[in-house]
Amino acid sequence: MHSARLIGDVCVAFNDKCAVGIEPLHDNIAKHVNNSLMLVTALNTKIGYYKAAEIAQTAHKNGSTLKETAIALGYLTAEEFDAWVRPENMVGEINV
Amino acid sequence: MEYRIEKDTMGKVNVPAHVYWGAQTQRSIENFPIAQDINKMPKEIIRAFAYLKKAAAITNFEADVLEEAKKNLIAQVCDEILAGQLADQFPLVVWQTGSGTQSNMNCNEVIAYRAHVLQGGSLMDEQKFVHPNDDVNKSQSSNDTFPTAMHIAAYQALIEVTIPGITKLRDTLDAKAKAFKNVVKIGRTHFMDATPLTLGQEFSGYVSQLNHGLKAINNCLDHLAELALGGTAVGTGINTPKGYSENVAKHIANLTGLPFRTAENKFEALAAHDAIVEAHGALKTVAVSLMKIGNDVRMLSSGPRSGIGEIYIPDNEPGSSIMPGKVNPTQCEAMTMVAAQVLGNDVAINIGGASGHFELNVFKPVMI
Repeated sequence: MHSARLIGDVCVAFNDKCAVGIEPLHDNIAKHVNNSLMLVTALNTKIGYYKAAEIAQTAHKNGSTLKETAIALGYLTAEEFDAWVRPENMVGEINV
Repeated sequence: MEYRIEKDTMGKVNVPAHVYWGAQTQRSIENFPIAQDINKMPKEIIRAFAYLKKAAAITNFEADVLEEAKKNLIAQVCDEILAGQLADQFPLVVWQTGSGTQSNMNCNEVIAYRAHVLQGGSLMDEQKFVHPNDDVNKSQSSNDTFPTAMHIAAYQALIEVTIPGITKLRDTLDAKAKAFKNVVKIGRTHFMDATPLTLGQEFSGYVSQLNHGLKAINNCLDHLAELALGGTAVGTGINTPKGYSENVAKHIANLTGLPFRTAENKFEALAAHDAIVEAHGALKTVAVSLMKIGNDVRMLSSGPRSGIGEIYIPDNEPGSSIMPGKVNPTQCEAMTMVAAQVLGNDVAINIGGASGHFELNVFKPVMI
């Protein structure tokens, strides 16, 4: 009884006082996405996991961007990077 | 305080003069001075008893073992209890006999003595018109009434409070998932950066968790719909008229508007509470989901200047008595605390459920 009541009540409180007001903070979301080293995963199928890992590790060590590092290492061009590393193409099928 | 003298099979007991309870309720108050101000028998259990005592009186009358005047009086007091009029007449706590006998007797005494007063008698009368054991408890034992009350109360709480609450939150999260379906954000695994997903995809996981939790709760209702009443002392149905089990379950179903039916096996219904363990297992699962959702929301909303800060949640109240302007994710905190409590309750219920011995489980009150 205790648990049944607690869960029912807390769902309503959380809903009314929190969940209904949740909104995305787009600036921070974009910053975190664009800074992420794991966007490199998109390059696995283009240049292979090992080279992609080298780009991520080097960028992390030097504090540089993935794009700068990828070009400096000579694995791809700026145009190829922009075409291949696109977060919006990395989210699979949106079916919610 | 003024007292009157009530008797039970063990002798005389001083009972406060103006209360409707009798000797056995008073003994329980005196013998179990354990958290009496905080751990009362849930009012939902008392209401469930009112339904089942009324149904039993009607069934007994139909079986020609209870006279009409007594049936009507018992039903009238049960209606008063259901209307909340006698709430202060049920002083007992969970910490009592493991069969719940004293709460069953509390109901029997209050119904009998209130009925006596309703038909013109006085609480001071040594002989009462309606007898707690012979009339109100006719064709019943604590061993079948208490588990019946457990199932009625649990079923009602789940469909009246738990399922609507979870559904409401599920619907809101589902609307958010759809609204945020194109908001590309970074994923995190092991707390570390991972490949992107959308905020809507992330929220759709929460929706699915709650959908599965609701399904688990709904799956428990069929077992909870089985009632022990008619099993009496050990499940054999001793001292009940023919057809009593089926008829009393039908009356409870009519009175509550819920699909209760007599248990297929009364021995299981008295000696085990697997239906309660199963139902609480579903609640435990939802608690686990809520803990994950609450933690995600508070971490995603952390900041405002030094946290993850990817979502905004409403500012509900000042968060600190010393740090000006601070606002905290307090709803997440309340929800995760509730989850912790439910996980703790699950341990107590599992131990109680596992500890039935022979013909009776005597962890009933703590399991409900």
